[in-house]
Amino acid sequence: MRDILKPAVSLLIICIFITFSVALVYNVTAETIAEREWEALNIAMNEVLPGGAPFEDITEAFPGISDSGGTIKITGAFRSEKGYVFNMIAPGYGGDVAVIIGIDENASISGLRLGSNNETPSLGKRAEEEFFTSRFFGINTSENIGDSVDSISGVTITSTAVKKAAQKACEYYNEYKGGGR
Amino acid sequence: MRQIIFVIMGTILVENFVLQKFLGICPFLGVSKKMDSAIGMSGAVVFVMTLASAVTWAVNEYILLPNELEFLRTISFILVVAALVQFVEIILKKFIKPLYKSLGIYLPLITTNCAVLGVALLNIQRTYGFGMSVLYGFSAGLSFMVALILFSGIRERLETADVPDAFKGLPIALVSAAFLSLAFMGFQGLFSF
Amino acid sequence: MKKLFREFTKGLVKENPIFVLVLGMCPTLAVTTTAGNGLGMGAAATVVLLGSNIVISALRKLIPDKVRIPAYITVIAGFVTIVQLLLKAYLPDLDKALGIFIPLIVVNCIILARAEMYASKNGIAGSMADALGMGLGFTAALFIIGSAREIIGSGSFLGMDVFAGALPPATVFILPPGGFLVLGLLMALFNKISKKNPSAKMDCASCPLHCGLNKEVVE
Repeated sequence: MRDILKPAVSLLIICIFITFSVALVYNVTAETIAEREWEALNIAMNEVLPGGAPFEDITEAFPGISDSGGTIKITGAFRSEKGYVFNMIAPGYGGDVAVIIGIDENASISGLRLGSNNETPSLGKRAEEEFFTSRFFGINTSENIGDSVDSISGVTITSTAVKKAAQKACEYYNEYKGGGR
Repeated sequence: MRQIIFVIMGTILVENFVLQKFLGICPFLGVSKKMDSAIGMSGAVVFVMTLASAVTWAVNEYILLPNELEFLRTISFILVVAALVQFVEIILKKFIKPLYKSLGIYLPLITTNCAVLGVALLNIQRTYGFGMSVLYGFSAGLSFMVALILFSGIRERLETADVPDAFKGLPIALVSAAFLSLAFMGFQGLFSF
Repeated sequence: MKKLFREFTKGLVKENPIFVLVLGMCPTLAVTTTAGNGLGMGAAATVVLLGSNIVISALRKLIPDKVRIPAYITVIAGFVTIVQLLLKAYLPDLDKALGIFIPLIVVNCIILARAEMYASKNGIAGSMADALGMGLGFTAALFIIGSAREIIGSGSFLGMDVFAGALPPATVFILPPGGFLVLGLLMALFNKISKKNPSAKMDCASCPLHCGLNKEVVE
């Protein structure tokens, strides 16, 4: 009995001690981490919706946030005095591509940016560059983005993913606005 | 059904765990000298990865999330994987002797296979549901299997090849892995799912 | 003092964790797309290694032999989580670049191998010297691989442009195949210079859990 108990108890003590230390560090850093994440998000949102800060989180108004079945998903929605920002993910060449889309009060796209993705450098990654993202500027949410924006030649899948994400964001915007809110 | 095939083929060919994501490189280099051991090892990996995906998903969903203990994810997952491997070993030894004979010796190696912990963490990162997690774990295991078996075939041939002294052993194996990985890059964009 | 110095220096070249011991291959290949990421990964792993070596060395007489591996894994996982939280809070860009490979330091063979082979048998001072030497050797190797891949693959070094557009970058070097290729070539170069080829006969065997087993599996 002793042979079983002693290792078990010492392992338990080590686990408790380690968990305690990790929890301590977590409590110390939790606030900074949340701040950093919000800061980084705000910087990105300000780029797609200039002068948009401060932003208000309205993600909860949109369904399908945790829906894992669909291909194009919304991961966050934010409102400010200047307009709306939508965080979307769409399947690209090498996994999901995160896209941040800003829509101003005139219902036109004020900016678009790519977030984390695993696209191929010098191919799919080129969609991050301004020559492509600027093509979305000023497009009305009622337009068909598939027709209005040219894909990068040879980078069809990533381009399509970004365009679909933008299209979906516009649909969400129209739905939200159309709902009288 | 279409979706399931897409996920399996996509994980094996497009985002191959070993050749594109660099997970599970240690066993990939260590246990690939012989085809037999490659098959045994990867069989055990498929088995454990599928199980681990299911168990870690449940741990995350029913223990960590309700109690806001996400920061303990790494610790709890690695302990769950380690315990699971031990448990599977005991069960197989006791009840399914033939399977234990073919997979048993590889099981202890799996705890430190980063592909197992990797797939558990990726499932959470990608917010997969239960079914999808298990499917992804299974296909990730298969992707390891495909890479390992192909590579062991190459290494069996390398044994008899005349390579410069400095390249003998791992260096030439790594260079061959580079070409295998390059070949797999050709599958990129095969599916968009 | 002299002994401590020897413990420290052995990790740099003679027992370099990557080129000689061939440990921790996953992060070695995955995060070395730039020299900066290589440094960051090396530093994170060194901190974890130092912490776990100190704690395990201090507790070496208290941990029962039977449960030593789970105990080591718990200690290591604890340090990894702490490093991960600190990175998230103070160096979010690095955390993003290294991604899933930060939590995966837990299963990095180097750390468990040093715990099992050194810290569990030696005093705290020696274990610290061992951890720092091994960590530095790991970092240096990652930095070399990262530099080679960054310079050839994206034409820059630590983010600064090197060729000023005179030479188009060979993108394949920052893609997965480039990782295997650069590591293979550098390992061969290391063998050529040191006139030894440790990897010719060795495998992943330095992993404590792999040791005895690998021999019967491979041979």
